[in-house]
Amino acid sequence: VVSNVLGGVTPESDPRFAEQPPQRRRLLDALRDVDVGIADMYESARRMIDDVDFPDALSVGAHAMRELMEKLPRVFDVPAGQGFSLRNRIDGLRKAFDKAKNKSTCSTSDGWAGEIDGPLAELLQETEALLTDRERDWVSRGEADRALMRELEPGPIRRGDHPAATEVEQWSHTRAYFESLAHHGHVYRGKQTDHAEFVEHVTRVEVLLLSKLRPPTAADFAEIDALLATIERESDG
Amino acid sequence: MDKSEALAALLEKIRGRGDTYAYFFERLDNPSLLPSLAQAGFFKEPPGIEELENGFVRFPLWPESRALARLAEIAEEDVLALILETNETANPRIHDDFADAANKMSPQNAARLVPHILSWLQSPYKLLLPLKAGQLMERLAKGGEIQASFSLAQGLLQLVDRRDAGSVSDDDLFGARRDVAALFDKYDYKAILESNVPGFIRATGIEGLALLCDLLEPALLAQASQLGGPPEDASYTWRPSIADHEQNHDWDPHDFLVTAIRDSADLLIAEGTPLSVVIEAVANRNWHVGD
Repeated sequence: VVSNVLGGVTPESDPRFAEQPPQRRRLLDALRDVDVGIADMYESARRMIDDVDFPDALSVGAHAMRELMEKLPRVFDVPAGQGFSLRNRIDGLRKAFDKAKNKSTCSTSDGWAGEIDGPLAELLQETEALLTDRERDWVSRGEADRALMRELEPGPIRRGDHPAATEVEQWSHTRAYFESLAHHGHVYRGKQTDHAEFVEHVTRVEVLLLSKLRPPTAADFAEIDALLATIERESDG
Repeated sequence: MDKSEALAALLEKIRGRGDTYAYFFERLDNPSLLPSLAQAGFFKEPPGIEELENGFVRFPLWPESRALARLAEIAEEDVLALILETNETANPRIHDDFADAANKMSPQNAARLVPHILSWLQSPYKLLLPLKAGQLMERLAKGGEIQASFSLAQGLLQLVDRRDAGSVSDDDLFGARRDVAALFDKYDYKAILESNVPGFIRATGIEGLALLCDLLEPALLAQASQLGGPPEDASYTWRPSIADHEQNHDWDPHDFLVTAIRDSADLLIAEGTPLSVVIEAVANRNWHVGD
């Protein structure tokens, strides 16, 4: 939806892409390596930051960021919290059951008997998938956030078994902010927000994602050494 | 690329990346960058203590304070100004780094950090701060900053009601006489008395010895409160001999302090202080332990 609003402009085709700060370009590249859809969501949110004249820009951007944050657990294969929809899955299971009941030779007037055939195998697979997904995903949002933060721990200064409580709290707070803004909750509930606050929340997400998706490389460190040498040389000169 | 462009590229490189940020501050050895970094917002907001699940806490490292501790040796004025501008934090790792910085500065500049160190010593969490403060106490005394050294000694080596000390262990709970405790681990307390107090006493003389005796007072008063008042201090039970003796308890801070007072008195006499002056400082305090 957001991409359509933007007129189908892809990052590559937009000359503004080249003008973006290096950090933003790096994150965009990294996200596209992982999941093109998530990269599009990020790009949409960033465009809304830049396009102050776009009608309802912050809510549109917030919608993109909320979607991005909700899909991240799947990308990193961690529990998705309340993203598990039991009702939809039960409906799917019901269809598989009805099919097996009607078409499997194992379904008899005396009950279930015989060698597993195609329809019954389908039902069992659906059942197994549901139970597996429920085991993985049916956690509280707090647990899901902690799992994601653990996965996103950014490198040598913060690595540990326990994610920083403040990071989990900030992540949860930022998601709540985007959710409220995406649903115009800030308007209806009389809360105030502005461009600066929106940028702050987007930046928070960017920092975490960059730390995870672009881990340290010798090239980064060599570049820092070279920059330090340049500064020292220029200072002496 | 000129200096300002290189600096801008550097800031871009280290912002928002924990790995490059930590690497840069571990490598930073050029103090001329400090003002620019401060202007860019660094050295201002140290990480606090992080509360984890199940009651655990974590003390995050702060690469910026580690860089300041390292650079204090070659840019102490700049480092001092930055430390004084840093927001207060309860994180003991940052306290340790700043105490390291103080120990690399001239005594005159280090003295300006003493009020802060005294405040950090009151924090519930202390790692190596007491030992570093002990080194600073000695350095200040040797460097002629006597008043600052005395302030630090009084705050560092004070004995307080053990309920206020913040760290009561099981073996602190035996016996009515154990009503006072150090602000930190008692073996660190003993290490400071053995390592730093001789140098402190050499530099401060009889006044330093008097200060040690003052520090013992709360422990003796705690004893006396249960025995009808001074000079009763029950020292015949916990310190039957001022000389080393197997019957001495030698397991509490005030036991260690008595030994330090004894050794300091010996030291001053050996280095020429008149015996009568030393006796005046130690014995005329109306306590049996000084008899």
